[in-house]
Amino acid sequence: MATPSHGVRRAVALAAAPVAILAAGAMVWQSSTAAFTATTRNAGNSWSTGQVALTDDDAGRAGFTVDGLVPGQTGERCIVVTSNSTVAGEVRSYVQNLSGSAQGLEDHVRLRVERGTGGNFESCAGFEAAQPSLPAQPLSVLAQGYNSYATGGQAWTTTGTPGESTTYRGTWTFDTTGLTQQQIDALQGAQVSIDLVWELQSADPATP
Amino acid sequence: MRRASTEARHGWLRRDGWVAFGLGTLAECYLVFALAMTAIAVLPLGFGWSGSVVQTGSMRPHVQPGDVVLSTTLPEDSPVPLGGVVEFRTLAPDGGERTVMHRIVGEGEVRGEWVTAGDANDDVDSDTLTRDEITGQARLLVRWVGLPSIWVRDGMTAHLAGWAAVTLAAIALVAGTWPTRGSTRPGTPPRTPGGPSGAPALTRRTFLAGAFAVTAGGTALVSHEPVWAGFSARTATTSNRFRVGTWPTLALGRVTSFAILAATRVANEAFLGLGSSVGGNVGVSPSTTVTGFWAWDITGSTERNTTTARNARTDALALYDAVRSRPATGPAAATLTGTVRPGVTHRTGAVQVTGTLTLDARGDSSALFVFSGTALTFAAGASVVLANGAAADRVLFLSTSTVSVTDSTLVRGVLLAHGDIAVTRSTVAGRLVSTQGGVVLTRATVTPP
Repeated sequence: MATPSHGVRRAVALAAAPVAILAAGAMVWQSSTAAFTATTRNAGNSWSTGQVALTDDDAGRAGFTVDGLVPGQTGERCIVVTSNSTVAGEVRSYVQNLSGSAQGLEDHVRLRVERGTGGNFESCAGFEAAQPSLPAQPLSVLAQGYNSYATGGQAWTTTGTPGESTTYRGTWTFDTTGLTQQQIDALQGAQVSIDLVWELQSADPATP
Repeated sequence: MRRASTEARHGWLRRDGWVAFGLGTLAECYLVFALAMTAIAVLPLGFGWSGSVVQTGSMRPHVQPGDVVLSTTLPEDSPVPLGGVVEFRTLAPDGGERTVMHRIVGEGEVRGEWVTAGDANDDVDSDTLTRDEITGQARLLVRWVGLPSIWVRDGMTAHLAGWAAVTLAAIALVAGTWPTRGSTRPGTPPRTPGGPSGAPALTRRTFLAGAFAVTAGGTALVSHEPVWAGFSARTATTSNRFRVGTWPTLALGRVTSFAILAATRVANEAFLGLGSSVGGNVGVSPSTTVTGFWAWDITGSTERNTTTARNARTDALALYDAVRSRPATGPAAATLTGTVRPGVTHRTGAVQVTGTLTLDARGDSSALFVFSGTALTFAAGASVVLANGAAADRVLFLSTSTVSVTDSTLVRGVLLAHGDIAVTRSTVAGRLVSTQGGVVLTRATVTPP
């Protein structure tokens, strides 16, 4: 039979449209179910590592661990942040989890974060700032005003080339200016801790 | 029969042959499928649902860029869909807002807050979500329908053109291969248009309309609000700690009950004992020697190695060590004069006070002034002035050997010496404390603050 018979044509013509419509419906149903009713996300799936990753060179150590702080003391630490992302985005720096002291030490430890090149976790030698830094701010102010990606500062625009890196330098000062000796003495033994966070978010798609 | 076999050979490729028939059926399926998908993506919009074209891939693998997500508002009485995918407004980096579609993966630390994450992100979102911020819960996922809009957005004309070409080719195939009046097979009677047996199920016109619908639906979705399912990743250096040290506050302790405290002796060497006075207690320990005073010279008690004296000396020794170990806050000068601000200085070498030394506490009555040297001399006529709230008991002059206060000097503060303290024809508004030596007054007045 060289050509499909009329009956075949007719049968196929009648069946094709409903089958395609059913297929579309089944597909929507299946993908919706898979995407929207799963109760857990696929943690650690293969996309995770391939798409975005941000690492630093602190090897799990805290950037600042300062004991025996005395008034006027200052110090710095550099940390190299590396993006292994294949999507372009922007890294911002902010603070989290401020654990203050009853004495209010967080008002007197000032931190300035700069971004630039050079230096590493071991030493800031060779660090050069790439952009103007904000003035040093007390940890309490940072925790109030720079506590999320949206409010984060010292932005670093990444191009989506895996391996690009930048250096952040944190400079802290125990500033007791304006305090009486009694107030300074009252700060003895006080302790604050804070997390410094760098977050990468992929760039917004270009507006149509 | 020859004709029939020729027809059989070439029939496969004929306009109404199997190949054309198969391709036409495929094309028809594709078009109907596309139409149906578009309809599913568009029709619910008429019933109050909202549709968004996913722009980015952080919800992979389930949701891809170009998929259309249809969502409904979260009913007031329904719980927050833990594990579900929701849309919410969030601050965009540029300061504006944007719609994000991520999954709720858990409860936040604060009650009423929820943690969200993109399926493809290792890290959860840094900001938590409250119920009020949820603008919709994703219900239906329609694959690929938004792709043309993504291509338009990104200017991917090759993809766009390819898709348009395939679609148009499909339309042409379907329209071209459909049996019409002109393509009847030999031997069969010509069909009448519109007749029950011969009418094509889908006409050229229908397909053109369908193609328009697909294109229009696809491009209409361009104007849908894009939803951002962005990638994010974080790194942090955690538990940065600053702990303030402890330091001696240089309190005088039990020394405050004495105007003069010495180890070996307290003596008044004025001629006939005249002209010296002590406006407070005098203590000596471990010695018991207090000589040269008339009874009325000392207004307070005289403690000769009493418990009070011993306790005071214990505190004096501790104070001496504390002052010496207190870190300096600035460079030390050999000569102290002029106005000085609070601070601690240690000099390896002698220190002399000349002229007027103004100690400016700048309103801080707890301000601490420490001047230490290996020997201490107050030159004749020197005067220590306490300004702006400075307190005599917070002014410590320390000598690791002797202290000498000569004529017409007015000292305010505590003189703390390892060795002897000699005060001649001068006034001390403060205390004289020698931890290992004696205190000798010659027509001197000592009044504790």
